[in-house]
Amino acid sequence: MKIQLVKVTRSRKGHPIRAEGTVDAESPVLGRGAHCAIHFSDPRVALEHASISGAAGACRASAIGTAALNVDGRRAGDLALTPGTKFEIGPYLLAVEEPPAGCDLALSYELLLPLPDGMTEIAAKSRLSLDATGVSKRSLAWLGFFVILALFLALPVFNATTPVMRALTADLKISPDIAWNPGPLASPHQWLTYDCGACHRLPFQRVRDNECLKCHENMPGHVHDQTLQTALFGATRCAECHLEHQGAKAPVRADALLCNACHADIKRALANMKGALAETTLENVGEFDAADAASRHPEFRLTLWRARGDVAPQISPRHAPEARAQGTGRTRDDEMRELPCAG
Amino acid sequence: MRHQSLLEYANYRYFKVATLVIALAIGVYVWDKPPGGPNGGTWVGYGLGSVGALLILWLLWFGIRKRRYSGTVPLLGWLSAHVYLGVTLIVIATLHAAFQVGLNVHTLAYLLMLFVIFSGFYGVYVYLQVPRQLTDNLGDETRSSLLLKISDLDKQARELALGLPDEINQAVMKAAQDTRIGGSWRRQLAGTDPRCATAAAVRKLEALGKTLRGEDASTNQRLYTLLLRKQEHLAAVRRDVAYKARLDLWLYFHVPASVALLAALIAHVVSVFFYW
Repeated sequence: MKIQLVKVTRSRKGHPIRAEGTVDAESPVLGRGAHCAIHFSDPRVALEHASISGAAGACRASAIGTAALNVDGRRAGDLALTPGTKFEIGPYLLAVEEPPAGCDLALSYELLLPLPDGMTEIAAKSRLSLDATGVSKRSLAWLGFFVILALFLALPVFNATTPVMRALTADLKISPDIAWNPGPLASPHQWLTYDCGACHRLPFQRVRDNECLKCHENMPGHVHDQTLQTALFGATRCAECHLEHQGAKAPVRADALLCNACHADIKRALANMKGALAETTLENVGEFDAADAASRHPEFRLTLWRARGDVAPQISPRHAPEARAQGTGRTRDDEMRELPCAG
Repeated sequence: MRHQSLLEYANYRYFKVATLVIALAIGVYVWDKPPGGPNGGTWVGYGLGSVGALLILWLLWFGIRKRRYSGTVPLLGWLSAHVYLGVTLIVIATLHAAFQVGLNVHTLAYLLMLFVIFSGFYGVYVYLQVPRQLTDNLGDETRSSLLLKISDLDKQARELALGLPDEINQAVMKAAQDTRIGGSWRRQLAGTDPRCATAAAVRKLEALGKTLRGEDASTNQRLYTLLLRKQEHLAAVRRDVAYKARLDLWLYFHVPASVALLAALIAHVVSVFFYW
């Protein structure tokens, strides 16, 4: 059987370039094997892929073994090779053409799918860095940044600055600004834990005495004389000595520094006072230190004024009922005692 | 000149600076006797907090600085300072908080900071260990040169297998077509591929080779040698990918946590003064 074999390649512009040759063999075999009469040097073609049989005008191609001839995407085991027939062997497209004089069959073949470049193929299937998996440090970072800002800044600020929100969340067990709470409140104040705005009325301003006095309005001062109370403590906020968010047993300043501020030189401290206060007979206390057992001064601290026989001052009835019921809203019933220097 | 590690930079200059900073912070904390006890709201607390916050911002700046090639202090110096001054934050922030922790944004910032610092410790360990392993693994080769060799071996193997039985040819073709390096995080970090197509082809050639005789047996033997070489190169590239993944992995925790720390720090500072 004499076959005209045309190898078709393409120019850069896609025009076909035909290289003709002839094969003369009895029942020629198509395959990648070196012994095949029609040889395709491609691993995607079987060693012996198909064979051609028959005479001029009645040639047939038959697949060998498990190899396949594909016609329009369908698998064919055997097909007639009439002019115009097209079929695929591996990556090659074969077309039956009108045979020239002296040939039984004319076949053209063209490589449709060249083998991919090895490097490109490996690179396409590999992920050689953690970044290549699609997880990016940058997106994780932005996610964390905005989630934290939203939950722990934007939401609490929105809650604190929006009266409606504040009213809605005041009674919640977990308020939006609870994450801002730096530590437990004093036990009498713990019922206010989830209502930050009860004390922190104005943003970026220290807690004002007004907020304390809303509940403690009937409290006597530290000093009986109102003028002296104002003169001594007028510029001092309650929260400067009554420290909050420091635990259930809220510390109250009773340190030497506080006492000595006035009592180290009591006459000078009261020099601007009027009347008898300016002529105080109190002695200076220069060596008071509550933590120092050797201190010459007995331990004392500032208390609320009450005359002998007075009951302990009560907190405002505006306190939460549950706090009153638990007795946690009561101020401490401190024992007052006379100091030798109080003359 | 002897190679100088980031820890030894400039005769341990930043180790000394960090030690001094830590000593100062502890000294000030011990000296201060604030009313009500130490806490973040005392003047020393504010001072330590300010130093800590500025230090965090400066440490974050390293992420930008390392991308620049200019500067009076070399990058190694920056990295050394980054590591040692990062360590001082553990002391500064702990003293700023006066050992107080709670379920709040303040402790969140503190924990994020500790996480960033300890992930940084792992980063230092990795930076001191892995580059040597990378060099030992590749020798005079590079990843690109190995990939080129692998691709070339694939080409040679395909050509050699053309004349061998289909089963061998298909195994060789599959080994070339299905060569994958790396993949998921787990696969990259493992540095191996239990489903390696080349390893499968080697096993197949071993088995099928026994059935071949003459020229085919000899070709199969040459093919087998080619695939073994490819397997070695693949193992080296996979190890290279694994070492690189180990070098990069900690940054997937360190960097996002650092940025999250910045957010928590902003929330912490704003909240403190918002509810002063």
